[in-house]
Parts: sequence; structure tokens; C-alpha cells
Amino acid sequence: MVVYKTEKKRRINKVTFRENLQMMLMVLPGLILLFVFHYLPMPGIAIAFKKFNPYKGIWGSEWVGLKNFEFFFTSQDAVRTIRNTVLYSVVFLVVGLLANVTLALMLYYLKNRRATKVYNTIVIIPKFMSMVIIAFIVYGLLSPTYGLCNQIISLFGGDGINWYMEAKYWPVILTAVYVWQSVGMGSVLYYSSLMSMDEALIEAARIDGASLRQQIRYVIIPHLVPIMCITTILAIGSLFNGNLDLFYQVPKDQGVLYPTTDIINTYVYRALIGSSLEKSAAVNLFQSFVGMVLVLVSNGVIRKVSPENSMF
Amino acid sequence: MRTSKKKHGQIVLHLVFIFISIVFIAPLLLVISSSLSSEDALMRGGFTLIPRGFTTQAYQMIFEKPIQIFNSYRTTILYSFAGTMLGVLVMGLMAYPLARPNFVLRKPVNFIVLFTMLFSGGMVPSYLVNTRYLHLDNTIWIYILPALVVAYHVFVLKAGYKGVPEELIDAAKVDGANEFYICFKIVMPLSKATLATIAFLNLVSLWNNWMTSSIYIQNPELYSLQYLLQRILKEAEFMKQLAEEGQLLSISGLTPLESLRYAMAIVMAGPMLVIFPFFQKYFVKGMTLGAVKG
Repeated sequence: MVVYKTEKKRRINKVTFRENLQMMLMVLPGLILLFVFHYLPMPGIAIAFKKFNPYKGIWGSEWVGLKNFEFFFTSQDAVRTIRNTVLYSVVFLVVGLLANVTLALMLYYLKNRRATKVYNTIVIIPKFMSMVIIAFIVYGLLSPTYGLCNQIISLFGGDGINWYMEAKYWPVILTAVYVWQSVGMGSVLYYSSLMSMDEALIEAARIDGASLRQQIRYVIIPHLVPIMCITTILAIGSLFNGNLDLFYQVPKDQGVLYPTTDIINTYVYRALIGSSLEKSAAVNLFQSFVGMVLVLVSNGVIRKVSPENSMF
Repeated sequence: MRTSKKKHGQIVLHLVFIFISIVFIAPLLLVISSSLSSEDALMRGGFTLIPRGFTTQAYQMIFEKPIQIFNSYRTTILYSFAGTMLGVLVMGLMAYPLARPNFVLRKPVNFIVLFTMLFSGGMVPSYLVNTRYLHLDNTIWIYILPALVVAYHVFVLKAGYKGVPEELIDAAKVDGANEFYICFKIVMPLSKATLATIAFLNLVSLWNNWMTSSIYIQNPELYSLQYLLQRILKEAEFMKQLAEEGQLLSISGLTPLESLRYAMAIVMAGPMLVIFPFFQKYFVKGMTLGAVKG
């Protein structure tokens, strides 16, 4: 039997030239596209070490060594953007995790299945919206003259706040927008994990007299911990990479708000739009490099903890 | 006693969910209601959840001469659907050999795809290649070509293909089928759900793309809808200019800028917001496709 199996396998897995030629043809279009749009630009990284002259092109421009990096790292921008990028990533991770697990728990405890479905659909809606539309919504809430928030404030006798001029409110606003957009989809993973959990576990805990809080604390949360760990470790990989759409669109690119809304991605994008190509390239290269290290680290950790979830 | 306590819990839970639902739906009402309010009422009372001074004036103005919006719709629909179909074709083909043990170059090709996820040259080198060497700026291809192959999606497809029973492929081989036949007639039809998920994810990201226009497109005919929208939100001047192009100023003494802004948002984003939720299951699937290995 064993002999038969290996023989069969050998016959089928026999590498033939024809098959491989056909399969090479299948990967070819994709490979060409990857080559042209991902690998061909890579030598262009050189621009990060040059003073770019549009007339001379990348290769004709003069080398300036690490000057572009120096320019960034000695400016206020470096501290601000790096701090914002990392802090927001951490806050989004923690708040997101709490919100996702809480929502999943609530959905799980809701007994009416039809209602569960309706609520679930409602909270997922924002995920389909582009950040531009979400920026419209936020403007509707925060516009200093027309916004709903200021109407409510003045209803209670307070003075309206000029939201788009006051940087201090934006960490809260951006976190709220992030959670609002992502919680519906974020809870799906936890919810489906809870649905596949053996209900006898909770039943047993209840018969032993565990209160709802104790059930959650000692039965449900431990069940979710593995997923929470994996989500967290994966998030380390993107610690250095913020959501350009959120940070560029929602604060409407207002300069006054940069102290709390500017992240590396928005900085790179703005420099590109503003034609400071070499500056943009330098910061982007720095970000890509740190990002790669972080991904390798997070993947290495995952491979130790839970090999089936590792990316490679 | 116990059951009544349980019932109380359920009621409280429902109340909390109703509150959450309001938080999720009210902002949409705000947009719709603002687009249907008269400019006068907006000036006095601001945006409200229920239209005040109900009027469809803003919509009439848009449909009076919707050239720019029409152009952007055409561009966006064209590149979104072409990009989605081509993308699924190219990635669907590319993932097949990666899932087959008899492909000798499996490992190097896999690495070439994986590496694009780890490191990229960044926006500026891409910008220079796309504009200086490929001359893709101000063409519709700039939306389509660079986004055709997404490494992560290739790996998702590969994982999906691996779920196809080996015996089926073996049987087809014994019957003399070649690799193309097996891919198109056996593996792809059996991985329809994965392909649909990828197609949908592609479509959403193409449809919501605003950045490509802002970097590469100067010709207003080729602006994407989202780019047009973000300019309408950020630049009052651009709004006015659009309104004047449609000769809107001559229609009424007062141009309803705020309500017009929101009416434009509805006209440009509304249809997809209605359509997308129907494909929710694919979206959810795409988000939960875990354990994807490179």
C-alpha cells in the first residue's frame, strides 16, 4: 500500500517540461507587472541620496549623500511624524482590540439571531465608505458654523469650538473615526470564534454558579486570547505605517492640525505633491526600511508562537 | 427570577445596540438631510438630521449640467471594472502554479511576489518610472496597471486553490488535460468564492481610489469620483468653479454651496453605498481569510 502511494505520487508529481512551460506562461503576465511596477522603481531609491534636478533626471542629478535624511531628522517634522505614527498605531491597536472584543461579546450574548444579523450589518456599513465620504460626514459633525456638534454645544449654552483649528481634539476624533469605521469588520473574527466555541463550557461554568462577569473573565476571554495575541503581533509589523486616507482626508489637510494629525505617510505624500521629491523619497525609504524590519520581527515571533498564522 | 433577570439583560443589550445603530446611521442621515435642505435653512440652523426647508434645488442644479460628474463616473466605472476583471484574470492565473507542487520555479516566483510585500521603492521612484519612462500619467492605464497584481491577494488565491482536492487534478491529468485546462475548467470554478472575494476587494479599493488622480492626472476628464469629491470638500473655490461651469450661478442669485456639496456627495457616492452592502459576505470573507502563507 505504502509502495503504491509513493509510486502514484511520483507518477503524478513527475516534473515535465511541457507542464512547466505552460505554468511559466501563467505566471508571466503577473511577473512582468510586478517587475515593471515594483522592481523597476527600486533603483530609483537613489533619488533619496541626490539633489533632484528634473532636467537632468535621476541619474544626472548630483549626489548629496545623506543630506536629505539629515534635513528630515534635524527638523521638527521627524519627531512629530514618527511620534504620531507610532502612538496612533498603538492607540488604534489597543482601543480597536477592546472595541472589537466587546462588540463580539455583545453580539454573542444577544439571543435573537435575526436582530444580531441586522445590528451586524449596520455596524459594517462604514467599512464600505471611502475615507473621502467619511471626511464629508466628519465635516457635517464638526463644521464650526454648520456642524451638529457645535449646535449641540450651544444648545447647552456652551461656545462652539473651531474643531479644524484646534489640534488638541484630534487624537480623540481620529480614534473615534477609526473605531467607528473598523469595529464592525474587526469584531467578525472574534464573533465567529465565539460561535465555534463549545457552549457546554459556559453551561458548565453557569451550573457551577459563575456570574456573567466570571463567565466572561474565566471562560470567554481565555478562548479569545490566542486571536488577540496574533492580531497584536501582526500589528507590530505595521506599527510604522499609518493610514494615509484617514490622516490626510479626515482632518482636511489643515496645517494647524499637523502637531496631532501628521504621520509619516501624510508627510511623504505631501512632499511628493509639493514636488520635494528627494525629501519624500528619503523619508519613504526610511519608513520602508523600518517597516520591513518590523514585519520580519513580527513574522519571526508569530512563527514561534503559532506557525499556522505566520505569513511566510 | 432567573428568566426575568435574563430577559432584562436581553432588553438592555437591545437598547445598547439600538443606541449603537443610531450612532452608525445618524451621520448618514446628516449627509442626506443636508443635501435636501435649503441653503437659507442651513445658514440659520446648520446641518440637521431632518431636512429643514426641504428642497431638491441642489440636485436640480447638479443634473442641469452634470458634465464633470458624468466624466468622473465614466472614468471610475471604466477603470474599476476593467481593473477588477484584468486583476482577477492575472492574479488567478499567477496563483495557480504557486499552488502546484510540480512547478519547479515555485519557490523563486513565490519569493518575487512576497518581497513586494516586504519592501517597496516607495511613491517617488514609482512616480518617476510611471511618468518619465512609461508615460502613464494622464491616461486611464495609471489607475489599472500598477494595481493589477496585489501580492497579498495572490497568496489568498493560492491558499484557496490548495483547497481543491488533489484527486480531481490527478484525474484530469490522467485524461490528458493540460495545465491551462485544469486551471480554467477545474481549479477556478471550484474556487469561485475566493475569486469573488478578491474581485470584490479589488473593486472597492479601485472605486475608492483618490490618490492616483491627485498625483498623476491633470486632465479633469480623467478625475476619479473620489478625487473630485475630496476637492469639493477641501476647496471652496473648486466647488464654485464647478458650479459656474454648470452655469448654476445664473439660475439663482444665491448658490447653495453647502447643500450642493452634500448633494454632490450623495450623487457620487450614493449608488455604491447602496450596492456594496449586498456583497457584504464577500467582504467579510476577505477580512477573515486567515492563515495565508506566502
